[in-house]
Amino acid sequence: MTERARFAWYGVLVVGPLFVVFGELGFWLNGIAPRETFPLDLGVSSLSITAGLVVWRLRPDNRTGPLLALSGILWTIGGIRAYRNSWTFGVGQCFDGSQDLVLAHLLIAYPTGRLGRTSLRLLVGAGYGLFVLGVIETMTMDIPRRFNALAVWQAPGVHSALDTIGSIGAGVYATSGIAIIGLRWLRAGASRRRVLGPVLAAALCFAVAEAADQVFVAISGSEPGVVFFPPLAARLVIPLAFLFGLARARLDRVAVGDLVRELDASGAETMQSALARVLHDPGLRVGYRLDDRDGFIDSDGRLLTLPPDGSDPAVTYVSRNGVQLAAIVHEPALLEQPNLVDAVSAAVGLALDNERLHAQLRNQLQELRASRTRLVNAADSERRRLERDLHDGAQQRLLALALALNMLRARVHGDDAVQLLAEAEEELGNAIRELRELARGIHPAILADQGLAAAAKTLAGRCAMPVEITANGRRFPPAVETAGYYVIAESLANIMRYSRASRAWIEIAEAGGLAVISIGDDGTGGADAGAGTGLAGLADRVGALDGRLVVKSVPGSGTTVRAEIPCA
Amino acid sequence: MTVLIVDDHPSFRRLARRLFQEAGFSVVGEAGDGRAALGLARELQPDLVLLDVMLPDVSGIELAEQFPSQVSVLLVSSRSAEDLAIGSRRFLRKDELTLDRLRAVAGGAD
Repeated sequence: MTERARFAWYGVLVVGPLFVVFGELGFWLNGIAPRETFPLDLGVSSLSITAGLVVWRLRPDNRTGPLLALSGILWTIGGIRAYRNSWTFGVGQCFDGSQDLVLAHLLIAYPTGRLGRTSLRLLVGAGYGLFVLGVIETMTMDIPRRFNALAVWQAPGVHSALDTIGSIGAGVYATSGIAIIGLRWLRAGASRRRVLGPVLAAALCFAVAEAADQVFVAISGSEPGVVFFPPLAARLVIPLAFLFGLARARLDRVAVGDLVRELDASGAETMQSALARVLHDPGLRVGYRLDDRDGFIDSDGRLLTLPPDGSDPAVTYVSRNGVQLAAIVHEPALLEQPNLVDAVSAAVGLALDNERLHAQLRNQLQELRASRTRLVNAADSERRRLERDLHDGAQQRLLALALALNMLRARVHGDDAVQLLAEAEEELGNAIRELRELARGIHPAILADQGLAAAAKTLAGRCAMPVEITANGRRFPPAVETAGYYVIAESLANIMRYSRASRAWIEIAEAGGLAVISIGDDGTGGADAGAGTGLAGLADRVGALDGRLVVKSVPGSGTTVRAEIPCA
Repeated sequence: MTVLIVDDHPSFRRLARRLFQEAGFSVVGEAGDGRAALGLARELQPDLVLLDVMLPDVSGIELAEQFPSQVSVLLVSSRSAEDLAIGSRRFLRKDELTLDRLRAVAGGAD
């Protein structure tokens, strides 16, 4: 704060109370209001001015502070009309009721103090038009000029008409203000409701008290304002609501200060849920900046798209030592409490950086997993292409050659030539068979054509021992079927090589979004899942699809290989 | 005995035509895919269709069920019956397609 500003504040602190007491004493000493209500009267103006100045001091960019203080000052100015002086009467009369116009402005502009939309500007402009009406009303009062210095045109008819218009206008204006803040509250999220709530409650309280006063006047036939106490007490609640909001914001900052300790203590609560709790915004999201490229990820490592600047929800970036760490996506209402968000940045910077590193690690794991899946899928589709190329290319040419040789046999004469042709046919038959087996090993065509159950049946058919198959024929995604096929093929090969089993079985089923493929035997057991590359390679293949491979092999009790692969 | 040859490889169709002709069949048509095969089978009403299991547009096994009932179908493939998980009845691997076998079939039909 500059010297000049500090001097101005000291001036306000000294002159303000004197001015307030001067204005309010007017009411009291001159019998305009009952003496019992003097403390309330004094409380309304002094609290409004004090609360307004405090808000103004703490949030200089927010216009609610000056507006609240102005309402208190205007309340006081209204009081000076009670002094027996024609000028103080005239001026005081002009300002009588103007504090409510400012209060309505305050409600409409709350919580930022800015009106924003043109329609709201017009409404508030019309509200201040009522003040002009009040001035004219003062000028047309049927009171001699020695009592009212501003009574330049004594016209009781005009005065009465303006009085009626002014009362109705003020009622409509005040109701609009309350309706606007009420609608804003209904549409707001939790965080903004927390800000709007106390002031809305105070405004409603005041409106009810005023309405009750009017009803009482209508029923009892007494003069308006005779029942001073309830509206005055309700008026007192408005600055208190502002002070309450301020205190609550302070407490929120204290809660932020405790955040790091609580996070360390609980261990289970994530930064996101802790911030959502402390900032009272259940929809709050935390995005962690990636180190190696542009973009943000959530705590699970998934990419997070941030809303554009100026949109709803809003984004606040958190930096530490000049390095951007995270982005907090939150209700725009939190932007009205920049100190709170700054407190968050300061308090949780280190913890956020920690969690950001964890999120980044999760993101890298996800990418690694996705990359492994892509590699396996690419290898599978390359195998399919190779098998198809063999089938359509070399295999077909050899088959055509076989047909040609077969037809040639009828045309060849002489033992040597027939013998040579028979040898050529035999060699060719061997080549075709080897090529067929090679193609089958590269990728079994039956898998794509008829699915895992049918493919398992062909694998079982090549086994020396009986193999029982339990499957419902359900098709799984190609990558799952391919992985399942190789699990079955490798397991059956192991059973035939090592198990000395008399029988084996294959089960293919779906359970809880998983393709479950089990291969068992009644052999010697004792297989070592870690030995050799066969089962380890299968575990890698299954793992690439986010699945797992479990091998149970107890000596003397056979072996079961079970693959569980997500298939939903 | 009339025959329709259905295979997507032209070189195989050409040699199969000669093989069938040498075995005493009358080759009435050739088709490279399932749709053309079905049209020709309905139009020409052959006694036998030599049908490749793996056609570009449809599986030969499924297509076989759509032919007119009086048409006999002989499924062939470069893959084995075991690889295709189909019964060996009315199926031959392509390298098992010999003049002697076809003559036996033609003789049996006569």
